[in-house]
Amino acid sequence: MKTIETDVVVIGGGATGAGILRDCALRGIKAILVERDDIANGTTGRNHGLLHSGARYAVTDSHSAKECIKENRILKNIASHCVEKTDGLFLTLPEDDYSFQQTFIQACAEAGIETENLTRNQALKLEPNANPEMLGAVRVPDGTLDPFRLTSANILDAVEHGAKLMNYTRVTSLVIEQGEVRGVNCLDMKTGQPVTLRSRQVVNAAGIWGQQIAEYADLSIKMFPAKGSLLIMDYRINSMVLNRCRKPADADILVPGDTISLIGTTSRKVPYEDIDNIKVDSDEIDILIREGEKLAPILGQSRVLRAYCGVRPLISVDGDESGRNISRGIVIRNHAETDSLPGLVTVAGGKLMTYRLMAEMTTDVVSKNLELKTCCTTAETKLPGASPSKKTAATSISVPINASARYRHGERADQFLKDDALSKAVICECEMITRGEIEYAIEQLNAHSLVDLRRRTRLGMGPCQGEVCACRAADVLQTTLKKQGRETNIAEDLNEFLQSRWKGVLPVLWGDALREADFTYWTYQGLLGASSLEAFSRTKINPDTVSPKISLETEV
Amino acid sequence: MKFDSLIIGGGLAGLVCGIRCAQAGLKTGIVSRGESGLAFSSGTIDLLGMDQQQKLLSDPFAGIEKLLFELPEHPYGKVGLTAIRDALSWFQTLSCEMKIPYTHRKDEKNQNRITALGALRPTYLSPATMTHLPIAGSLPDLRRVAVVNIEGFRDFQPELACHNLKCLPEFTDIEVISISLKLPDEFISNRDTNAMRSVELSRQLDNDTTISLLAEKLKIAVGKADLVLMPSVLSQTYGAERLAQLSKLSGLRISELATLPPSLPGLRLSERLQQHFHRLGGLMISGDKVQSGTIEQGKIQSILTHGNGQMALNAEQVVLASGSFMSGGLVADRHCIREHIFNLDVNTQSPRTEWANQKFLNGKAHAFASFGVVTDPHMRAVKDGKTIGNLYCIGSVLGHAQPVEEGSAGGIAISTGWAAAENIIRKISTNKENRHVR
Amino acid sequence: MSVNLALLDTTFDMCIKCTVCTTKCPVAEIQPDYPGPKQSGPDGERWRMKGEDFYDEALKYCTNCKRCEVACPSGVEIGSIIQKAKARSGRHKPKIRDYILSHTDLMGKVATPVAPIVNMVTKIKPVRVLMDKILDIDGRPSLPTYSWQTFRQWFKKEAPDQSVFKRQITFYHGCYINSNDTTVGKDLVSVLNAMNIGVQLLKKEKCCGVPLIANGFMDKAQSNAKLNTEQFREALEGDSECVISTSSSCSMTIRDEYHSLLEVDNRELVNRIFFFNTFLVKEFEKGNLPDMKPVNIKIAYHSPCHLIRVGGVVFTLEILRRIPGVELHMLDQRCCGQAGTYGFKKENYDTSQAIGAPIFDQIDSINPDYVVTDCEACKMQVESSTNYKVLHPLSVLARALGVSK
Repeated sequence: MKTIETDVVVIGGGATGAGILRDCALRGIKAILVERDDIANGTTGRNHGLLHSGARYAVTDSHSAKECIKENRILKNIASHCVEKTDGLFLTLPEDDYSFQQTFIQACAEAGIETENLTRNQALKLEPNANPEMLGAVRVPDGTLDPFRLTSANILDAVEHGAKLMNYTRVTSLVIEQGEVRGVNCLDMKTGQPVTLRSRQVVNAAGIWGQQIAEYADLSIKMFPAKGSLLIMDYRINSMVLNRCRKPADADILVPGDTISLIGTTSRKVPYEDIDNIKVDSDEIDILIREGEKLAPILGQSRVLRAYCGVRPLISVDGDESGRNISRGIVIRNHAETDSLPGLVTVAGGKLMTYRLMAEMTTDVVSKNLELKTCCTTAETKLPGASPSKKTAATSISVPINASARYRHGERADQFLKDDALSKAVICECEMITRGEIEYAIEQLNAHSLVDLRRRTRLGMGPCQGEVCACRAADVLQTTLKKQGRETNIAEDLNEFLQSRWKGVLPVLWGDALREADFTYWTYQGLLGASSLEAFSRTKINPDTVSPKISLETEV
Repeated sequence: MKFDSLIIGGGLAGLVCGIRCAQAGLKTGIVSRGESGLAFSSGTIDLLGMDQQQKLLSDPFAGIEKLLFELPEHPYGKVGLTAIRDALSWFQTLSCEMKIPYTHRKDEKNQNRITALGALRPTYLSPATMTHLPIAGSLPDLRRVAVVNIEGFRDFQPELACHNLKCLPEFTDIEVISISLKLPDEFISNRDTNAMRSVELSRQLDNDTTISLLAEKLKIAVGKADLVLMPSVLSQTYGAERLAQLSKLSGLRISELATLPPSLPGLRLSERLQQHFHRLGGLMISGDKVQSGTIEQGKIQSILTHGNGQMALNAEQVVLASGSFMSGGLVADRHCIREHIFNLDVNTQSPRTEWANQKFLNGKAHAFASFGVVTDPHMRAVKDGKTIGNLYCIGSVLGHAQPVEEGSAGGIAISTGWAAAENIIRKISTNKENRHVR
Repeated sequence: MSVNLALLDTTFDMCIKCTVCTTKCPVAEIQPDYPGPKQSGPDGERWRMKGEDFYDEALKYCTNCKRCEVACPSGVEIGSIIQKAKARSGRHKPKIRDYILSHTDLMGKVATPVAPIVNMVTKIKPVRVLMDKILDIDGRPSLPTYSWQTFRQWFKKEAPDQSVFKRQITFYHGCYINSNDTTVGKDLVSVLNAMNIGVQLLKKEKCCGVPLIANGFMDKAQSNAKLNTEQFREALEGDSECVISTSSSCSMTIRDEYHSLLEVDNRELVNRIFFFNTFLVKEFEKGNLPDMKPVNIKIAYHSPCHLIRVGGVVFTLEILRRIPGVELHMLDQRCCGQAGTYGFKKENYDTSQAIGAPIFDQIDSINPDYVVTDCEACKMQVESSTNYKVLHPLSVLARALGVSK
């Protein structure tokens, strides 16, 4: 059996795991991250992508609010290509209690969050698509944060500092020797081969799935899963983050994320056994649209592109029934101290916004356990992509290609924005992704499949949901992998990609989304006869008993 | 403005119906909002490729006979087998007149079209530019097949097609290779092949010099092959002629594959049909769309278009050929499916959670594909349970078919379009005679 | 960037990426630097919401012929999306040349008093070379000639005769008829008089705005739209049944684009603003159809892009078919390449000629007595690029009625 030695194994490829991997690498600690699927495929990739200012928590949870505003300022510096400084508005609508605004402003001030009180007209001038019936608004330094890009940039930096990513590697058990955790046993999900990673420390950063990891060591960490559903609009219907100026409730945040807008979320308790099988319910969709229209009335007339849901990884600390009032605080357990099980550290709770802080705190514990004296530099060191570009684009590269590539990859776009016809060929027309960018994502960012490419580039995330680009990208993937001597069943991969797109469209199948689906169905089945292919007809996935891996594909 | 017959929708069904009416000397108009599904179609005419149990059909007519028994409300049920045969033979004659001949196998069986993805799909009528495989049995004359692309052309993936063809049981003993041909820049007006779609590339290839060069390159790159499969990029107007030229010059048997949209074989058919309609004196109202109609005494009295509120269009007989969702004939909101021009009765009241399958592509039809308007046995529309006497519905706006899965879109368009036209011609001539007698 | 969506054309939301618009764009066919209607229109609009950095100056190549809109099965107003984006973000500032070419009413005012001189001068080779060098107005196409007497001046003498008719309409003549070629205006008056309808003019009128929109003078276009709409309202509150225009581009603009593109609300008036062909067909069908004599001419009919866009070609055909002795040949529905002022510009001349080439060849092969079209820009292009004379359908009708001027 294959065995690999390292200092630290990090379980879980979400933002937190990636942040820990990077933090270890920057401190000179050898580390490997194992992820059963792909990076940012769990809760990390299934939220608003909101760069909180902390204002949302100011009234109810001032500790979180303070953490948020601190990390907000750090991320604007170290991850500038993952962040858009849009600012946000907290709207008071006629149905809301206007006096809450003063409480809110006061709480923000206490947390150190700058606010600006705006009249209705001032707010409409800044965000013309906000509800004109608002009574007033408060401006706060909210922004947007792309979770895929953020995770990928952390991994990239870690790898460039000697760390290793093993995605599609599932932990099957912990290696426990003489009452000490000494590594993990895994299964390579692509080849089916077992592999053992031996290490001095194992970090359980698997989020909601961390409960299962803990169970491998007979430890009990009780998670409190709450499902949140969101809708993706076809285009950016607002340019500032819109919130309701009231206590947090359902569907009251509208975030402009890259080319789209997101409305969410709902909050529904789900049994832990169901976390891999959650679905967006049709009544949730109706709530999201009803509430979303109150923030920006045009939402009701715009095409909904997809629906998706994620599970909040909250740790149950009291008997709260809704899952909304549970502390979002960071929980770190050094099992050497709490359970007399050295070698294992669990990190849970927190939120995307505080991933870096969680990573810092966790790595501090790991470092202490390893008896090293290191210090964290992640708050100052820019992520790859966040530095200014030294090159100017070749004039033959069109404006939208250049601007889109730089928007997504920052200065790293220099590596693939080349002046040759083949590399600047546009593969995904909705999101302006070139062949060069796709090759870069396969070669530099560990993409193995079309779905992986989507997370690293936005392939297939536009209005056509992959109709135009799926076959084109499959061709690039097949050719590039072949060059690297890697084999893949490309037809199967194409099927999985189309199916993963379909999962998100299915709950919102009306209007133009249905027209689009009708067109895609006509093209892939009527014109290309896809389903008669063995790779498509083979019922690898039974839709009625969804396997965990596939259910996870209900994502952005 | 007054018409004898006015058709809403300029896709295959609408054009067939319009041409047949114009042939009979009726003053015929077609209101067409944009290009139709033909622009994304294979260019072949499917009749019935699969039965209701998703089994491949070798004999489409036997299949239709069975279908009429199992599912009498199917659009074919309103036309009947004899009329379907008449319509197809009329269409074949028309295709010859339009100089884009469509033929079927001598034994009137289905044939397998090779798709650009390297899959097989049953079809019936085919233009001369494509070579098809028999539905059953081995392929004795094929030993080596070459899949060829023009280097840089994004909308055809030879490696992917090659991979899939090799997986087909029919191709077990056949060698399949993929080749990419680079054309020198000066032969394609220094254009970048990586930025072109099929139609754009075809404009660069549509001349004798480039075809000769292509033939030379093809000969060298392919060597010996029993069949060369190429994306359909040769010419938008003279596809068959250019393909024959290339075959002759290279000495190779070449078949074209309809690519990802836009699809040239479909566009060619659409263009020829439109030209023919114009030549017959048909009036095409493009750039506008029908907004509503007034219905009185069980008849459509007049039609209003979106862009022209000043003059209603009047016609003795009206035909609804507005297509399904993609073309906008049917619309869906969060709660229901509607036919939005006349608000006709549709064949479903199901909630949106029942409109489609969990799996996108696995050979099972999505429910939404079978939604459509309800008609009387003569294909006349029904609103609030009452027949509208002068409104015929044809093509994919009709319900109860599964055009994509059963492979029947072309056959339904042609047979319902033709049959409605025949009804209209009969009615109008009777009316004229009656007026004459009086 | 904050874009007020209520003021924006959000039809791009309906685009299903079917790509069919790209097969019909006459500019993309010829000009490789133009990214085509899909990328420039609905695709681009989504990125442009992210900021000005995503605006591509190559949008300037769009002629706003609107063939993409006709092809679109989804109702996306691709041409309008592109025009609005140009107006919002275009860094390409209009040149003095664009000012001259687009301010057609102002130029007419300046030129008509000295028309013979202007006409002569703009035909002189060295002058054209200078215009070409200094103004980037291409030296090859013939520029519009100016009439020595404006249509309005001519009409002053006619006006008293018009009041004898019980039925009255108001004629929006536009710039070309007023300053360049008054024939079509005079023919309209004769034809309508033959149908017992009197003609009035608006108290004042401005250019409809179509060349201003194409050249990026959106503010000016909007102020013209406001003035014209006020004038229409006033005329229609008086004894005029309706307003009639004889130019397909003016007609599309004053009817459709004032509201959809220039944000001037004219919705309550739209149904009383007619392109001549719709009005005539309506009258004919009501029985107001004067006797016609056979004209015995062979004509090749070219459908202007903007008439196709509004679905109006059939009504012109209906008129032509009712004229005895017309041998009608339909030219393929392609753009002639002129697209208003586009073909006059030096940087566009070759593109413009290449776009029109198939039409010119087809005309040659038909060899008609006349080419007939409803648009003055198409007329200029065809007359400049072929040896055929171009008539307006009204002029053919006037001949048949024996009232031709």
